[in-house]
Amino acid sequence: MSKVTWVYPKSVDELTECLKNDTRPHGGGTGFMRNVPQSGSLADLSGVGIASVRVTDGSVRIGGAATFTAAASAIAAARPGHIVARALYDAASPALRNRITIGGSLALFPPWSSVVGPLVALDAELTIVGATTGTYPVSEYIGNRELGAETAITEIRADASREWESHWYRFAPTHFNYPLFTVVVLTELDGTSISDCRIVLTGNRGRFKRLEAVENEIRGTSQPAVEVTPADLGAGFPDRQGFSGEYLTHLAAVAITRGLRGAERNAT
Amino acid sequence: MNGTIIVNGAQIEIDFDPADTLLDVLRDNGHTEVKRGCSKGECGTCLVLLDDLLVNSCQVFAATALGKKVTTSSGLNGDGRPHVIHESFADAGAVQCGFCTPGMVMATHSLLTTTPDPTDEEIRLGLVGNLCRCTGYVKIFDAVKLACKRMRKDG
Ligand SMILES: Cc1cc2nc3c(=O)[nH]c(=O)nc-3n(C[C@H](O)[C@H](O)[C@H](O)COP(=O)(O)OP(=O)(O)OC[C@H]3O[C@@H](n4cnc5c(N)ncnc54)[C@H](O)[C@@H]3O)c2cc1C
Ligand code: FES
Ligand code: FES
Repeated sequence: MSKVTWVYPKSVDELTECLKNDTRPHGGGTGFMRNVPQSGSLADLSGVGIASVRVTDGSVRIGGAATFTAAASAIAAARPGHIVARALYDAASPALRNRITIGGSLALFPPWSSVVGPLVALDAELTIVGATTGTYPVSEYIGNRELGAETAITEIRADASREWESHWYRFAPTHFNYPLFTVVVLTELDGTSISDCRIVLTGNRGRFKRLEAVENEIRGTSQPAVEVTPADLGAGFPDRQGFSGEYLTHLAAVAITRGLRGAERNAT
Repeated sequence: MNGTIIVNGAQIEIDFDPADTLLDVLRDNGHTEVKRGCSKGECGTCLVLLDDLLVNSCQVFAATALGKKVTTSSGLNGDGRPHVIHESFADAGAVQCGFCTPGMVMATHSLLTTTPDPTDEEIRLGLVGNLCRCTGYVKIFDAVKLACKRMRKDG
C-alpha cells in the first residue's frame, strides 16, 4: 500500500500553502509514472486555474499546467507554423500530449524534451511560486536545481513580437521513440544575409546548449555560405542507444547547417 | 482512497491505492476491454477517453480521474452494440489476435472526431502511439479509411 496522499488545491494561493508541506506538483503524471512515488504528497494542478494559453501579437503565455495539446492548438491557431506548436505536435503521441504539461516538462527536463529547445531559443521566462517566488529565464531555471525545489511553475512567457524563420529538428530512431536530441534554429534575414540567429541543442553533454559563439560568427554571413561543423558544437553528444556520440554530433551539425540555410523553415 | 468515476455512463464507486492508475481501477472493476500492454505509455492498448480526451489510462493516476467521465472501447456506441469503427476493423480484416484493437479503435475514434477525412500521413500520426504485433498495419489503415467512409455516409 503506497503512503502517498493527494491534495487538490483550487487556487495559486492554496497551491503555495501546499508546497510548504512536502508536497510536489502533479502536472500530467507521465514523469511520475516512470518512478511512482511511494510516500509524500502530490498536488493535482488541474484545479488550480493555471492551464490557460494566451497568444497576443507581443507574447505567448502558457499556464504551467497547460497540456502539450492545449498549448500547441492555441499557438498554432494564432501563429500557424510557430516553432513551439510544431515541436509540441511532434512529441510523443496524441494521447500522451493530452496529458503531458509544459510545467511538468520544464521541471523534469528529460533529455528528449521537445519544449526546452524552442523556449530557450525564444528567451522565454517562467514564473514560480513556493519556496522561491519570481520570474526567471527558462535557461536559468533548468540550470539551477534550487529554483525547482518546493516551487511550482505557474506561467511561461515567450516573446512573440519578432518574426523569425524557424527550423525544428528532432532525431529519434522511429517517430514515436524518445528523441535522442533536438535542434532549434531561428534566423532573421536581411536579403540573403543572416542578420540575427539563435541556435539551441538539447540532449547533448550538459543537457542543453545555446551556441552563442557560433551565433556571433554567423551574423552577417550570406545564408547559402553558412556551414557549422561538429567541432563548433563544443562537448557534443555522448553515445546513446546504439548511436555513437561522434555520429550524433555530426548529425546535429548537419541539422543546424540546414536550418541556417533555410531548409524546411517556417515562420515563428 | 475512494471516490466515484463514471464509466460508459454508469457511476461506479472505487476503492483504490493512492498510487493506482486509472488502468488498474478500470480492470479491477471489470473493464478488461481496456488492455495492459506495456504500462509505460508506449503501446496504446490502454487508451480510453477521459472527459472526452484520449489518454493512456496507464499514465493517469486514478486519484486524478475522480468524478470524471471515462469512455472505453465498449462504451463508444452508448448502447453496448459495436460502433461503426469496430465493424470496420472486423470487415477490413484488421483484427488478428485482437489485443491492440480496443486501443486502435479509441485512437481512430479520436482521430476521426477532429479530422473526419484524414490523409495517410494524418492516419499515421493519429495512430503513432499504438503498436500492433500481428497485422503489419496495412489492414489497420484500410479499417480507418473504411470507418471514415462509413461515418461520412451516416452523417
Ligand atoms: C512514451 C512517452 C514518450 C514521450 N515522448 C516525449 C517527447 O517526445 N517529447 C517530450 O517533450 N516529452 C515526451 N514525453 C514526456 C516526458 O517524458 C515527461 O514524462 C513529461 O515531460 C513530464 O511532464 P508531466 O506534465 O507529465 O509531469 P509530471 O509527471 O506531472 O511531473 C514531473 C515532475 O515535474 C514536477 N512538476 C509537474 N508540474 C510542475 C509545475 N507546474 N511546476 C513545477 N514542477 C512541476 C513534478 O513534481 C515532477 O517532479 C514522453 C512520455 C512518454 C511516457
Ligand atoms: S499499457 Fe498503456 S500504453 Fe501500453
Ligand atoms: S492484432 Fe494482434 S497485436 Fe494487433
